[in-house]
Parts: sequence; C-alpha cells; structure tokens
Amino acid sequence: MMILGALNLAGQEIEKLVPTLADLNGWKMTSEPQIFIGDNLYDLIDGGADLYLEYGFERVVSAHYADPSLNNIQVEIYEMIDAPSAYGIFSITQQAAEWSKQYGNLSAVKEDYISFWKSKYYVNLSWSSRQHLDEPLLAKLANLIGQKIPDDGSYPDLLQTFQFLDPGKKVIFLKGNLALSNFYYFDYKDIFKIQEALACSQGSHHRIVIKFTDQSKALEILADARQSISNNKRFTDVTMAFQGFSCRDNKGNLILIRQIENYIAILVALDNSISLAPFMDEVTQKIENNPR
Amino acid sequence: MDRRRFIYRGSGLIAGGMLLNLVPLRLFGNIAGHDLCMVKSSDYYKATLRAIHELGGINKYVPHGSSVGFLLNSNFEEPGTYPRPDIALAMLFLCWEAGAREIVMLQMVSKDYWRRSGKFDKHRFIIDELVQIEKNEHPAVFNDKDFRVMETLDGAVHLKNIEIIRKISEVDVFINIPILKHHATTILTGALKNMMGLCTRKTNVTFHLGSGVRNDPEYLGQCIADLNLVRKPDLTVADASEFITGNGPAGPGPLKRLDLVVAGTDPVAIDAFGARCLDMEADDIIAVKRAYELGIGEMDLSKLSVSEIQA
Repeated sequence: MMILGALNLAGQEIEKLVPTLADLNGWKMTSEPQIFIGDNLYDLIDGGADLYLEYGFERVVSAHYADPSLNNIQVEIYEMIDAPSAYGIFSITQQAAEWSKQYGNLSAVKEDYISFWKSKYYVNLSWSSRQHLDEPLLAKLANLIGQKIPDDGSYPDLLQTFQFLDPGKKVIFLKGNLALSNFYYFDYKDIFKIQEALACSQGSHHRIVIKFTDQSKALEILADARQSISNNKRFTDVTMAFQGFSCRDNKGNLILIRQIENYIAILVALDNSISLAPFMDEVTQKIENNPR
Repeated sequence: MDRRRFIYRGSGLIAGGMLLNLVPLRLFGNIAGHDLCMVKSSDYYKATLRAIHELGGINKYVPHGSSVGFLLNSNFEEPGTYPRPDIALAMLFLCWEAGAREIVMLQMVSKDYWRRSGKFDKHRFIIDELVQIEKNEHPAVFNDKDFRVMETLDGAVHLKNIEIIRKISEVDVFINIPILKHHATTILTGALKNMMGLCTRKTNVTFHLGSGVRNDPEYLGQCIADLNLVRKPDLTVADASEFITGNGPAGPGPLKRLDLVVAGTDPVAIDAFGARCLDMEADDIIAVKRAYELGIGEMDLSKLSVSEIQA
C-alpha cells in the first residue's frame, strides 16, 4: 500500500489539496492521509477500479476526518491524467444523480455525499457513518477543497464541439468500453473501439456519438460492429439502413446506428412509439455543421 | 466465543423462535425440495426463512454442532449495492436455531452493517458471538495465521498461487450471501464473483491485471470461475430485492426493485438468474459461462426445479 513513502515521490501536489486541521477547527483526522498511485488504486477501491483506470487515473489521496459532532467523513481526491478525464469519471459515476454547479465545475449532491470535478481532479466526500445529519460540514470541506484547486480545467473537446455544456443535459464523456457498458451494454468486447465518445439520455432515447480519427476508420469499425451485433443473440432484426444499420435489443428496443463523417452515432429507443429517424437527422446535422 | 453456550442456545429451538417473536419454523422444511427457490416479499427476513424452508429446511444444510462460514458482501454503502442485513440476519438466526457450534464471518462485517436493520437489537445476541476474521478486510494482506497459499487448483484454467482464507476449508458449512447487481467489468456480480472476498487483495488484483492486458473481461471471468473450484457453497442466498443496474459495483446507480430473495445450492444457477435480473442472458456473463464449462453448476434454468413463491 502506498502511504507516506508515496507522498514523498509523486503525491506532493495532491496532498496539498487535503484540508488541514488548521482549516477545520475542532475536527480530527482519524488516520494519516493515504496516497494510492496507478494500479494501487485496487487497494482503495473494492471493485470498480478498472473504470477509473480506463479514464486515465493517476493518483488519489484518501483522508478520514471526524467532525465536532463525531461524524466520520471520508474524502477522496482523484487526480486524473487531464481535466477531460476528470469530467469523464464524474459524468459516468454520477450519471444517476442530479448535477449542479454548486461545487467545482459540476457537482452531484445527496444527503450523504458530495462529488464534483474541477481541473484534473474528481472529488468525493461521504459520510461513512453519521451520528447527526450535519450537511453544512460536508459542504465546508467541499468548498475548502474546491478553493485549493487553482484552475477550472477544460471540458472535453467533444462536449465543446457539440456545445453540450448545460449540466441539466448530463452528457457523459466515455473513454472506453467499460464506460460505454456502464451506460448501455453492447458487448464485453470493445466492438466500437472507443477512444472518446459522448452519451446522454433524452427521455425517449439514448444518444451515443463516437469519434474516430478519420472517416475510413469509422467505416471499418461500423462494418465490424455490425458483424459482432449480428452474431450476438441479444440483438435481432439486424437490417441495413442509410449509412449504417438498425437492430433490436433483447428488450425489443429499436437501435439505429449510422456512420457520419468520422463519427458513429447510435440511438437506442426507450419508447418504441417514437421514430428515431428525426433524432438521427438532428445528430447528423450537428456533426456535419461542426468541424472535425 | 463461548461455544458450549452457543450450542446450548442452538438447542433451544422453540425458545429461540419465541424470543425473536417469529412465526414457528419447520426446521426440516419442504420434503420435496428444489434446486432454486425465489420468494417475493417486501419482508426480506420472512422471505429468507421461507426460501430455506422450500429448499428443505436449514437442518438439511447445517447439522447440529457444525461450524458455519458466511461470506457476506457487506462492504458497500449505497442502496442496492449490498445484501440487505435482514436476509443475512435471517440466515444467522436459522443457523443459530439449527445449533451451529460457531458462525464465522469469512470476510469482516462491521457492526454498522448490522445496524442498518431494524432487527439488529433482537439479533444482537447472535451478532455478538460471531467469529470475525478481522484481517480479511479490504484491502486484505496475506498473513500466515488467516490465509494460506493454494499453489495450484485442480481444473483451473488460469488461477494459481491463490492467497485464500484458511477457514474456507475448515468450516463444516459454507454459506454465500451476495447481492445480484451490476459491475462495470463483469456486468453482473453475484454468487460467483463474491468468492473474491475470500482472497487477499494481491490475489484479486491478478484477476484484473494477470493477463497482461488491462480490462480483460475474458481473463477476469475465467479467474472468477476458477476460484469457484476451491469450494462450492453449501447454500447461496442472494439478494435480488433491489439492486443497481448501472455504475456498479459501488454505485450510486439506477435501482431496480424485484423484492426477491433467491436461494439454492448452485451458484451458477443463481448468477444465471442474476443475469436475467439485469435483462441479460446467462451466457452474456463470462464468469457464468466459464463456471458452467468447469462443471460448477447449471446455467440453463429450464433444467432445474425452480420454486417461485409469493410470501
């Protein structure tokens, strides 16, 4: 386990983000902050570390506090490879929560935890056990950490390209197949060879837009994906469609997949009374009107 | 723990039932028995008792005076990520009532976990006497007293040099209590994957990284199947009451509620059912497919006697 030894090697910067007891009158730190680097993340996260590693996890500092009401609070500050990766891990792990701009660039706030991203950091604060519901103290910690992170960092280019910066839209940034599987499951094999993609739910349907280096790559992946889906018994009615194909998943949901320039767009109907075609046209126009 | 006292208490079957103000239990259960039993109820404690009854009663699995090992996936906080304590408490009570000599938590279970149940106080007399393997707490590190190394495992495709809890081969009865829920890498985590709770962190990390390819679900699924060759649980009681269908295993994630407790002796069958809970087929889950191929259990539920009960 990486503890103090690691602090001296690579964790100096992240350690500075941990609120000190001088900042927190009457609080106690119940154990020394621990830093976990790279694959040592498996020592901190009991299941689920793979997803963080897929997003470019670098290191995390974990600290435990007891506040004056004897609430136990756990703080985890994850340093990702860059700000888009921090946005990505926030967006995928908090996809079920409401998002707001209360902390950092975007945050998810519930009764027992606060999560936010800012710059290349993804921050989680939670009550591990609570004697009293005393949320302002959790908020105090979140504000302290947010203030210690000097710059905001930039959203993923893909979000900026498509102008998906409204937190209410909850657009998820994907960097691999684990993340895609966490949003919509096609296959444990990476049939779309995802490097970067956006995903969001629009009520009646899911939208996934995957970016490739060039159009020929997108075409090649589309053909391979069609073959994989045709061979997967979870999917039926695989049919050629304009610049792509359609199929149905095992819930009967219609799926429309289209190659558009260097992108593959995927729409999954959650309500079979709707037509996906107009939505696909909208996505097509958005891609065609934006620079590569 | 005072073992003699524990056996003595275990002998007081009727008294125990009265103490806990429970409906009378027929310890010998349904004579016909089933391979798999699913009980639907929002009273998860009662559902668990009923499921075990349908499987033939606790005495079929837990002989008087036996030592019982529990593997309970309790180390999560978010709703739908850990088995409801009422299910585990019902199993503790049944084992106590059957006269178990000792009940060993093969992976550390904190008091905070039990306190999440409104039945905590009534079961405290059992909880206080549980044997805990305190060193098997995430991230578990090898020590000679609690763990041993299994250099090879008959039939295993990948796994070797497994650092595993000694007690798993010492207890007379092994009861696995998972929740059936989403997992980002394996899609489903249930009975089969819960077995990783018996191993040190070092061993478990090899499941994820051992193939040399990061995020290799094929390798991970095979390792999970291999690990289940160590010992098949005598009983698996899975929580399918409410579980996350995304952002697993830690959540928070979208919740699906079925109000089901699923019990049986075949962990492959239970996970095959778990796949259905996530709108998958059994062979979508690599660990299930590989465990079936290793002969650990049946993944085709149509070949099993399945009892479905509304309690």
